[in-house]
Parts: sequence; C-alpha cells; structure tokens
Amino acid sequence: MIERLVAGWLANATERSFQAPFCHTLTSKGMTVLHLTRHGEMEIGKDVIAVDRQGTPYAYQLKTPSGPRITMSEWRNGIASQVHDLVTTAVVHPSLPKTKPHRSFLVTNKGIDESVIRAIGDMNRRWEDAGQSYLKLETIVGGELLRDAIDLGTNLWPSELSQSRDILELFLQDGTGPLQTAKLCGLLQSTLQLDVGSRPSQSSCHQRFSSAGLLTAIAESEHARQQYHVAQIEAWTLYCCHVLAVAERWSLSKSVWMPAISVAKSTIWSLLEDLVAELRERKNMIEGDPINDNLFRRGRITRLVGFVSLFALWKRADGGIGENDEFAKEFCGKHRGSLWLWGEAAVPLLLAFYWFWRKVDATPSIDSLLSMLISGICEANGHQCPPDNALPNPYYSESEVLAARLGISDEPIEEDFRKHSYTLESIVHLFARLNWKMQMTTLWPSITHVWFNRFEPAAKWQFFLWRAAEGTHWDVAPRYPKQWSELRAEAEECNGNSVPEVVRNDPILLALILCVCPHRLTADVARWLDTQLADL
Amino acid sequence: MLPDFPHLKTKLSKFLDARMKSIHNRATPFSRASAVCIQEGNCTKMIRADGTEETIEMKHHHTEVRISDEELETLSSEEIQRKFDEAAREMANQMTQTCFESLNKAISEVGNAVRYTGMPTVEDIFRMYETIDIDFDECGKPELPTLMCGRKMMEHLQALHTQIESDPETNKRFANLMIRKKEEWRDREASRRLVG
Repeated sequence: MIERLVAGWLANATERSFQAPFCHTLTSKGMTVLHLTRHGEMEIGKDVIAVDRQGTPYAYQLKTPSGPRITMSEWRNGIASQVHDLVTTAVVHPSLPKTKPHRSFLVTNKGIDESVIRAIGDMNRRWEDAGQSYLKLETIVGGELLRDAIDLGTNLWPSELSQSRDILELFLQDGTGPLQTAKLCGLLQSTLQLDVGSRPSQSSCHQRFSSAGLLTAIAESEHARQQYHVAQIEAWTLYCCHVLAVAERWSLSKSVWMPAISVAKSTIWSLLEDLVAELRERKNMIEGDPINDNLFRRGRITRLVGFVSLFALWKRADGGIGENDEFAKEFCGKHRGSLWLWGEAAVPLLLAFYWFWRKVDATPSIDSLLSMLISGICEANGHQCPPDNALPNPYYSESEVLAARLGISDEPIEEDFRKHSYTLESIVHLFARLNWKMQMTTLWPSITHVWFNRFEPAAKWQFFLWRAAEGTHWDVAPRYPKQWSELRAEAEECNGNSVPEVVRNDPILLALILCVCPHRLTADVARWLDTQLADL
Repeated sequence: MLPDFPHLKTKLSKFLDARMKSIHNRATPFSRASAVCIQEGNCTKMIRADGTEETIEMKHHHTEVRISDEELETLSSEEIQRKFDEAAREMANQMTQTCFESLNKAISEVGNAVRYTGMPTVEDIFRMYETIDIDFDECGKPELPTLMCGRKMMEHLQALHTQIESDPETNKRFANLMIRKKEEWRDREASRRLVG
C-alpha cells in the first residue's frame, strides 16, 4: 500500500514538490547539498548543487513534464537550453574548488521519450568528439526516484495499521484546509524513533531524516498542489522540530543533523518567497468561498503578517535588505489595523510582526501593540469577564477557536480560560524591557488577576515535540505589590535557559517554530528571542 | 461480516457520551467549578501571589462497564444504558472524593478549618465567613462561596441564614461583617500595584 502511495505521489508531484525529498535522498546517500533554489537566480540551470564525499560537485536540473514523459517538443522548447547551461557553466560556490568539473543530471519524476534520450546521447557524443569528455548530461527518471524513495524512506515509516491509515489520510487530505499537525507529528515521531530509548547510529540518523523528509513531502503534497504555502511552511517547520529533537536528545554532531535542517530551511525559504510573490500579485485577501470569508479574513491576515515579518527578519539575518523588505513593510503596514488576537495561539505571529516592525519604524508606535496585547488578554481572561469571551489558550488552533465561536464545532470547548494565560508573562516582560513604567503601572492591577501558565518539558529535547508526556505545568500568580525594579530585572534576563542547544544559533528558526507550535512560547524563550532579534 | 450500521452506531455513541457527561455533572457539585485542561506533562506546580508553592499530583480515575455477550443479547437498550449511567455516577463519586480530599488538605494547611460538634450554629456561620477572603462584584455585592453539604445540613443552614436575615441584631452583625470584608477586599485590590 505504501509503495503504491509513494508511486502515486511521485506521479503527481511537481518539480517543486519533489525537490525537497530528492535532496533528503541525496543527503542520506552521504552527499552534502550546498544549494537548492527554485528560481535559478544565482545558479543558471542548476536547481540543486551537491558534493559527494570525494569532493566531486553534482548539479541537478529538476523537471516535471506535462505528460507521462519529457517529449521532444518540451526538450526543444526550453529544457535543451537549460541543460546546456547546466552542463557547460561552471558551478560557483564558496565550498567548491573552481577547477574540479561537475557532474550534471537531468532529473524527472516521470519518464523521458526515446527521441529525447537519443538527443541527449548525441549531445554527449558531440562534447566527447570535441575533446570535452568532462561535459556530459546524465539522467535520473521517475523509476529510479521511486526505488530510492522506497529503499531509503518508506521501510522506516511506522507500519502499524493506524499509522498507515494516518499516512493515507494525510496524502488524501483536502489541500485547501489546515494541515493536520497532530497526525503529521505523530508519524514523524514514530519515523524518527523518538519514543525509543537507544542512541541511533550516524547512518541510521541520515536514513531516518531522509525517510521523515519523504513523509513530510507526501503529507504536504495536496497543499503543494493547491500552492497553499503557509500549510507547507508549517509542515517543513514541524519536520525541522522533530529532526532537532533527535539532535538535541542524543547530542548529535552538527554534521549529522545540519544537512537535513539545511534542506528543510531552504525549502521553507523558497516557500516564503513563493508566498510573498503570491501576496504581491493578489488584489485582495479573500480566499475560497467569498460569502462567509469575512469571518475568517482577519485571522488569515494575522497569520500572513506574522509569516511575512519572519521572512523579512530572515532576509535581514542573511544580510539582505532589499525590495522584499520594502514589500514586507508595505504589506504589514497596510494590514496592521486588521490584526486579530483570536486566541493565544496568535501571539507568536503578532510578536513576529512586533520584532520586524521595530526594525523599520524608529517611533514608539509599535510599543503600543504590546500594551494592547496585555490589556486585551487581561480584559478577555480577567476574573469577571464572561467565559465565552475568554481567549482560548495556545493549545487551541485557529480552526477550533473559530468553530467554537461560531457555534459549529463538533466538540464544544468546555474549558474555562479565565484567570489564566500562557502568553501574558512573555508580553509583560517584553513591554517592561521598553521601560514604559507609567503604562505598566496602570496595567499591573489587571495583570495580577490573571495567572501565568507555562509548560516545562522534563528534558530539553521535548521542547520540539507537539505534546510532551513528561514535564511540569506551572501555574504562577503574579506578585503584588510588585517592585518595578524587580520586574525590570526579571524582564532583562535573557540567558534563554529553556532554549535547546541545537537552535541557539538560529533565532529565526525558533521564531518560526513558535508560530507553528505557539504553546512553546514562554517568557524565557520570548526574552531570549527579543535580545537575539534586536541584534540582527 | 454480518450486516451492520457503523456510522449510525457512532452517532448513537455520541449521544451516550453526552448522556454520561450530563449524569456525571449532575452527580458531582464540582462540575460547576471551572475546568482547566492540562494538555502536557505529568505534574502541576502552583506558586501563589504570596510566594508559597504547591505541587498538585495528577490522579487517575477509572470505572468499568462489563457486559457479557449473553447479556448483550438479552438486555434491552435501556438496561444497557442504565449500566453506563451507573458508571458515570461512580466516576463522579471518585472525582468528588478526590476534590474533597484536596480541599480538606488545603484548608487544614492554611488553618481555615472551622470545627463544631453537632449541627452548626449561627456563631459557626460567622466564624466560617471570618476565616475566608470574600470578593465583591462590579455592583459591590459579595461573591459568597458555594456551600456543599447533604440535604439535612442544607435545610439546617437555610434555616440559619433565614434566622440571620430575620433577626435585626444578627442581620446588622452580618452587614457589619460584610462591610469589614469589603474593606479587606479593597485593601487587597489596592495592593495589586506596581511600586518603586
């Protein structure tokens, strides 16, 4: 069943959607992926650049034909010239020697017509006859990709019937709806054997990361078909979480886990670029059935503003402030008034906006976002507020919250969210850092009516799990009367003691993880991120 | 397999679940208390505003419904339902007991226990209100705690409250107590500030 599922996925995949699992397959074969792009701005004709253990560079051009095979007409109308560039232009990368010739591959998830195979043979012969035998185009077709996927990937997938059903359900899910995060996380956890107590070997790690990569690609394939970039970004972020969990748990060497994370991050980066490109083109923010869309639009805008902000921050972290930064500024500024705190799970998205906006606006106007969040949470979750108006905690997704608000949920939320908040302490500390003492003095009485909640996993690696079975749930009452100096001292602390080691060099990835797993936002993590992102 | 209607049965099961929940809620006074779901972990810790810390142990409650194949063929739907109703009540009893144990422990630890012999008197009622903090709503009305007791005790307590209301002297004493409690509440609220 699994083999047929993979075959079905591969047959329907696009060059974009099979790029990431293809790269994971390369890494599991011991190759290092140096570069992958979907736009080919830097590397002409080269979608993926990798290097093997002997230092030989490999360049790949990925193609999905419209039919079952690459036809002669497709070859003549673009592919031939692209692969000519692939073979003849040098691979330029700081990690590669300039003198060593590269091997070139045309990769397709389908087949190649015989006439095209003959044309490739002729082209290779011409180079050979001209004394340029180092110039050669090799091919990888769908059958080989499928064999690799099955050999390196699926035999590590969970084989229990219930989990096989989950894989099938993820593959068949409607790509226009939200990602089924809990199901994907359960499968990733099993594939990466996070429930097993023995340390995996290095080769086993490579294989498992590759296998989980293929699983993620299949889980997000319907979203890829619909070009639902946010769901795809969420899926690859969850993949990163689980790889990082393995790395943190077993203190793996960076060389073991970094290739898998690099591929996933490049994929996320490309998806963010695609998202921004789509937003540039769009005339409005309406999606799907327009009649009822107004109920969902502000939540959508809040999510998009969060992701666009992260994209801009990421670009800045890479040292590039360009037209994308300008677009992010324009987009976030335009939609700032539509941001919506629909539940506490929206807080990391709003904080992403806060962290970006303070980079582009030197005025204190963005500071009011924090004070508004504090008063919003205290107002909604205060002791005398109506229970139906209370903000659900970050364990409740946007779809669950909206369904409950609209009275259309299958299982009504019976929890009482009043007098508690998982995110208030984080925002209070960030606001205290800004030294708005008078405003904080006004807010403090209502803050004291809401207890600060947080979850502390028993081990740091469990930070990356969707749900951790072991750990402590803290319920802390704000102190009163409270000394301003004491609050300031607490707010300034930024050691990030609860931040796992493997993500300490990558604050942007951590911010992205918080947007996808909002229940991992704690005051300690927020303070650490605030300090790190201020230094970008 | 034999002919079956699994989807209809799933829908029926949802009704059964809702019925059990309703019976459970009616069988325990604590169903009116606000519920918080702990989504992760195996331990809960609490730090109060005064800095005192408490670890709350998670307790597992369960109940079983056993119906043999023979019974399934002979019992009516109502009889099967009654077994589940009983399980819901049993579950409620277990949870009520745990809640009372936790309450008793907390009350004893902070020294708020009021002890009396026989049936409580008006004096005991006053002593009880003296020991607790009382909050007031937006209109200034006291948010008096819920009293949990058996039917006989409830009748007795109702009589005591009627006595407090009807007797001018005790009524005045109660009003004065509430005025004092309101002042204490105002002091508490006033202390919710950021200083320095």
